[in-house]
Amino acid sequence: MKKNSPIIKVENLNVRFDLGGGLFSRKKGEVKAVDDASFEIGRGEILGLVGESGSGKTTTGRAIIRLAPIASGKIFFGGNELTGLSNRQFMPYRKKIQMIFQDPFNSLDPKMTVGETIAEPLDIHFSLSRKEKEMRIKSLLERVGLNPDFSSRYPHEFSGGQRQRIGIARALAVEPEFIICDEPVSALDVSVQAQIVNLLEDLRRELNIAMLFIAHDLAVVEHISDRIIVMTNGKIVEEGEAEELCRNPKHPYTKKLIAAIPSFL
Amino acid sequence: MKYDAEITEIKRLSTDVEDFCARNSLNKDVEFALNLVLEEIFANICLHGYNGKGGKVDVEMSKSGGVIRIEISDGAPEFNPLSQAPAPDLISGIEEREIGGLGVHFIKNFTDEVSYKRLSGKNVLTILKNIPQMLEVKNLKIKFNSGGSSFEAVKGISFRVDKGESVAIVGESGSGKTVSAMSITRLLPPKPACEIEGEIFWENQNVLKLGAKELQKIRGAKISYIFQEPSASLNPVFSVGYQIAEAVKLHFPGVKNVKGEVVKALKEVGIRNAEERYNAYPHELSGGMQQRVMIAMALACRPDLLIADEPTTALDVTIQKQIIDLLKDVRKKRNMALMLITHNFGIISGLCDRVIVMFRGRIVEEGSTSQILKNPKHPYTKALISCIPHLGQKSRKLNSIDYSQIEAEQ
Repeated sequence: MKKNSPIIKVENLNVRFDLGGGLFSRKKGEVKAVDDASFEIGRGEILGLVGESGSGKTTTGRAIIRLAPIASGKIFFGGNELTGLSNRQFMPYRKKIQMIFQDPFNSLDPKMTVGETIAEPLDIHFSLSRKEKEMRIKSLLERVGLNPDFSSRYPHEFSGGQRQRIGIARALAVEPEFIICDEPVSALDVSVQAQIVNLLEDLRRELNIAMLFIAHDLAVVEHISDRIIVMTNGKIVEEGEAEELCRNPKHPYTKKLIAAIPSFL
Repeated sequence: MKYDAEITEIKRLSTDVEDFCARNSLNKDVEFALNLVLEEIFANICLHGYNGKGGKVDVEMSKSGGVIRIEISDGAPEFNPLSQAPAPDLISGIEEREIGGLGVHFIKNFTDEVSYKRLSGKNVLTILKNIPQMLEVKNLKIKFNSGGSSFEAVKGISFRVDKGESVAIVGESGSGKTVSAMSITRLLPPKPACEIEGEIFWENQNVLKLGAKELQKIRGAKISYIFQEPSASLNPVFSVGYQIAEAVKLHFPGVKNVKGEVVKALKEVGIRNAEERYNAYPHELSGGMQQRVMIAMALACRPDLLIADEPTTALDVTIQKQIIDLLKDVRKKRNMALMLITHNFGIISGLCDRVIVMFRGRIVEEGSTSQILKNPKHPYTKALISCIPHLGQKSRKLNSIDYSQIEAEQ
């Protein structure tokens, strides 16, 4: 899908973490969290990234928005290289790239109202009048299927699915072109999971936002993604169109992931 | 066809029998035997004509067991399958198989008592099957009070779990499934924060009336729990071996080689190098390993019932499969009953015999796993099943549950 104009291009990405070490002891070795990963995401495309805990899938997502240290490799956004930019130069891209986190209980500040949470990125990236900001917050809450009057409430007043919607509204506030969804539905009930997956699909269709959808459940990933990459031990072991990859898995690890999906009858 | 009405009727009765057997976890042989009896009755009504008024399979549960009644309403003349009369020639014309008396022969093998009565023009066959009584929950209501407000989390549910049976309780967050399970060994906060009404029988004693000492004999020893988040259930400052040993020492003070017991328990749940792992701390183990430790701890006291509350929700799909397989395995080996609490229909097939579906504090549907998965009746069950994405069905839009519609239908 629109492969000719990738919005995100990752080339030979390596992320390493030191083992042992600590303040007083010597470094004992390192873990290759991401080992030579390369992939592209087209505009408006959803790329699924599957793998188990420890496979490096979350680190890959975090490396794109500088939440993980990059050892080597290049990341391009719409043709411009992000790696090597100073933090100040990177600032405009923070608006274009947003992230949604796994745990809706930990990713919202319990002391901020929903309105304040969503207003924060607006304050940083836009200069809006108070009136405009309020309108914006209300329309965002409506967009993600929440009551616009909820903006003065606190996170603890919401269920897990509602909090995830707030997280999505916060990500949408700055009109991003690319969203990294890190296990956005793993902590949710199947029924709520379905709602969030449907919401993300709607957003992609209406706003043409590209997404990197990170999850461990291949059934969910296949459902939402156009293409899928499979990661294990930091390496990308398979890549393909979502349906094709699930129908004809080549790599033994992909086969193992498919076998793990509970068969219904 | 000549026997159309009869065949339809007997098919309906046969489904009733199947439902009954599934509900009460009677084994397949009993179901087979009951069906044979039905066939005999069928042959009889074919033989003597049928008035179309139908019959019914009725059931009564008592403390000692269950009574199954098969009633054929008037029209069919007096017919006593217990007489074991040889099948008239006519019957073999209907079906090739020889059936006269065979069902009764079977049913006698699997049940405790069979009797026949002619009651106000009905042929009533009564089959008494003693079903070992383990857990029975009757009209359970749980209410939480905080400040001035109160919330009724469970609004009157009844269910039973029999020896060696595996039951799933399926529902979303807030359906009351977890609090119902916790109330079984009184793990909920005391009054006035939480009020429990109804009766919970464990081997014929009402748990809600037991004192602390008697409760302690049930907790862990008879009924064990494993919870969703293994890292939150393990104590981070003690080795996992120590924590399992604690349970063994408490419930089996006579055991000399406690460490040996613990290592055995760790091995049983598939932990390699169990001797070394004995000294490991929870943070040194992965999520899947931690959950295995939790299972080892729960199994160490050889419980009759294991309550697993979302045991795989915090785990990866590959690890989830391992844990499910492990639960299947130990259940088979130990003939232990299992109560699996989950929001995901996907994990119950192959693991649970029976399913109870809860919605907003009530049981909305109950039945055998295959029946519920293949042919759900309640709109909520249908909606919940269609939320789950399947491989190879990419084009299907995932269902969002319309709660107001389900509420309206209730």
